[in-house]
Amino acid sequence: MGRYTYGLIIILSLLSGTLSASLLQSLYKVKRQTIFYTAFLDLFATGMCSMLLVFLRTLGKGYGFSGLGAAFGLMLGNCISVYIHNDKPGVVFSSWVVSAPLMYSISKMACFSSGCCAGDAFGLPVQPVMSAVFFIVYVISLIAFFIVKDKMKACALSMVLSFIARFGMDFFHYSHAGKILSTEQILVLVAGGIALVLYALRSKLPLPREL
Amino acid sequence: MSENNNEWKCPKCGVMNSYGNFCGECGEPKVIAASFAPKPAAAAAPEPSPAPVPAPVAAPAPSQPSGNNPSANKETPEDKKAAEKLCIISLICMYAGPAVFGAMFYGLESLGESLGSEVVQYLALIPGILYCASWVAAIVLMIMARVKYPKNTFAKVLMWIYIGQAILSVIAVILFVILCAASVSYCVNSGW
Repeated sequence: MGRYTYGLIIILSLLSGTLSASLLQSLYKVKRQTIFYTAFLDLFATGMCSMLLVFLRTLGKGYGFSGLGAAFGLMLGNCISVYIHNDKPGVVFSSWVVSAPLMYSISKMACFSSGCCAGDAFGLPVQPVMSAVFFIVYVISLIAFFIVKDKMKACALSMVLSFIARFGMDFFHYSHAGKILSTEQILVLVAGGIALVLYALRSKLPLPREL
Repeated sequence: MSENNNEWKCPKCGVMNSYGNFCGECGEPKVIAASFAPKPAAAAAPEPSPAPVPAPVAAPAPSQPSGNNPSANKETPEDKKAAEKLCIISLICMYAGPAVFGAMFYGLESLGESLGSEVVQYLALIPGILYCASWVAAIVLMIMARVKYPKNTFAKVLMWIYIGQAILSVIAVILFVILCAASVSYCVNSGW
């Protein structure tokens, strides 16, 4: 069971995220066509970019998955989808970003099963702790999604909490030993900075209305 | 009330009329903006208006593409052509693009290894990125064709081909894992 567990849990994480995002969209009366094609493109782009990042990092020699690549792919698929459909773009975009911590939470259990991304968080293995932390981020973002009128605020909250959690939890990884800031943390800061700037400027960008 | 407020241009023949609700030249009704404010008496037509609502400004062109109106019942020839164009470019991006970029990648990679040049090996990553971008573009174009031209058969068939392909790929990966990759490490990263 061991060697299949990673792949099965990754598939489970993608399916859970898709289910979460699709349910949120259908609750807010997004058209079924939009839900389906957004999910199709997002899943495809997530998988592709996740593998592409590993491909680039290993100079074309490695095959594997990367969380940061997956996040980039999800954003890419999302941005393209809201332009194509222009059907409640705020709800569609935000539902996927709010569901992303759930996907990451489940995928951390895949890391736990294969022994990678290891570390020590107060005597506990860091992967299940990260899984729990990101699940809490998901729940908070979900509550915000239902409460706020402008769904992009829930999207921003989800991103901010995810970036803070990812940055903070990195200190517990074995790979962080001997460093002040790891490469992963720098990437989180860069990605977070870019996301923050784009969010702040969103009314000035050529976005579909309502975003 | 000045006379200028009563002047209107006939939408059909272009003649300027200075009063009335029907064109003096061709009889086309005047387009009246929706308003609940009572109109001045001078604007009322001397003859009783046969139709309660004025006709729209211009009849739609006979073969107007329904790309902006996906709920239109019939697919026009323009729609068919536009949809087919999108689908053909999508097919090129799905199959020809990756073939070309894949070949370029392997070519540059082999060249880089035989020359011992890291620069060439870095360059090889560019076709690698384009390979993935090509696939994403193919999916995006198919979705655009399906959304804009929902009645088009080519787009529908293409969608099912891509869905089938995606399912087969997932099955192939799962089989690869089960049959061959006993020691493959998937999480090839240290956190990201």
